[in-house]
Amino acid sequence: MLNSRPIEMFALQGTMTQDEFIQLIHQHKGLIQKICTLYCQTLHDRQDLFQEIIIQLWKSLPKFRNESKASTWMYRVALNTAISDLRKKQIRIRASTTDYNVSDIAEVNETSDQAEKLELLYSALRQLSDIEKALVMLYLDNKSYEEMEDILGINQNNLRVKMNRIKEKLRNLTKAGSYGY
Amino acid sequence: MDIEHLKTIWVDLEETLVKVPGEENIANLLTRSSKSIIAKMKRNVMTELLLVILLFGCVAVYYFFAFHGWFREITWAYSILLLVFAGYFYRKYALLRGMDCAGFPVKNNLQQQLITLEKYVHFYLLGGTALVPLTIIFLAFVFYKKMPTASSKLFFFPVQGYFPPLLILLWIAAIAVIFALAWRCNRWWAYRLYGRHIRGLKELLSQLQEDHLA
Repeated sequence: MLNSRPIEMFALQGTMTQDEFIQLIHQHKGLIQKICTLYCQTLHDRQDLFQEIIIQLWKSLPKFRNESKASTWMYRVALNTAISDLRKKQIRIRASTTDYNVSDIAEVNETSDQAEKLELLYSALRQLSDIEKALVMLYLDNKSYEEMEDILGINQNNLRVKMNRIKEKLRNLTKAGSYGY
Repeated sequence: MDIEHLKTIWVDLEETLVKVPGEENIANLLTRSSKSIIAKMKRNVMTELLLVILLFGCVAVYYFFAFHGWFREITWAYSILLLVFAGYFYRKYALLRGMDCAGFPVKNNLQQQLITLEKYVHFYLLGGTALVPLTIIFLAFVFYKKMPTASSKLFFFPVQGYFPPLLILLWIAAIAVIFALAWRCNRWWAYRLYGRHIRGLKELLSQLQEDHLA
């Protein structure tokens, strides 16, 4: 059984074993999974991004300081990896114009109800810009505006304004025809 | 439907999105190289440096031993050029390392990447362009010094150390033309390589800009 030292302790001590890092990844896999699904549309791209995020987290670990929470740091690394890898993303966008289906998002054996919900959710989110996606994801993950500011580097007032605009945009998209399908 | 409804779907769907690799696979991943653009650029710089060391090193060693050591100056010339190129590549690598800031807040990370990438392109342009005429002048000097008979037959080399004003002007004009051509070529190449990335970063940053309260 791996020990369960919080990541802040690793930062203080300056070391983290590989096993402890793997444990950390498993603890926070949901966060990484969601970012991959949000920013990539094919299974292959998502697996690629998942791997890249893990590599970046491992590389960035020695630079982690106690200035922020562990989850904040993980969000930053994962979002930065997903957003700033522009060349890959353009390839993803080209690929995404041809095919997009629910079975590719979730495991194939998902129930139709769950698949429908997924389709609904991602049909809405894929129409947002990269930054809006990040913002919505943090909002859906119940992050406070303070934490969002810490992760995105945008001040809270501006975040609130942006969030209101995104809510309005999503509402309009719904009205315009169930998110486009 | 509003965002609050999306939130309930979001919370329910945590575990089904992407296959998480097993522990062994994650451990294997940690030994792999990153596929990010910056990591690739760093690898390219290292490859270029290695090629320059090999190429210039071979030339330097060849002229050290060949022709009974008559052209050893070329060895020193290439050694100096090698040092200049090494400094150039080191600076490029250092700039790329400055772009490794994945742990920064998203906006700061993008700003840092944009500023550093613009510096990188600027340095690439200036350094890469300046190296072309410098290399030509250097090699011409070596040719002039080591092969005075052959060089005296060419009109753009001074005869018996005398540099007439017309020849000076000719050299200045030639260097200016070479510099301008190298600049244009380098600029085209640099923006072909990095222009799209810079535009992408600017576009992302513009999305992060302060919204004015309506």
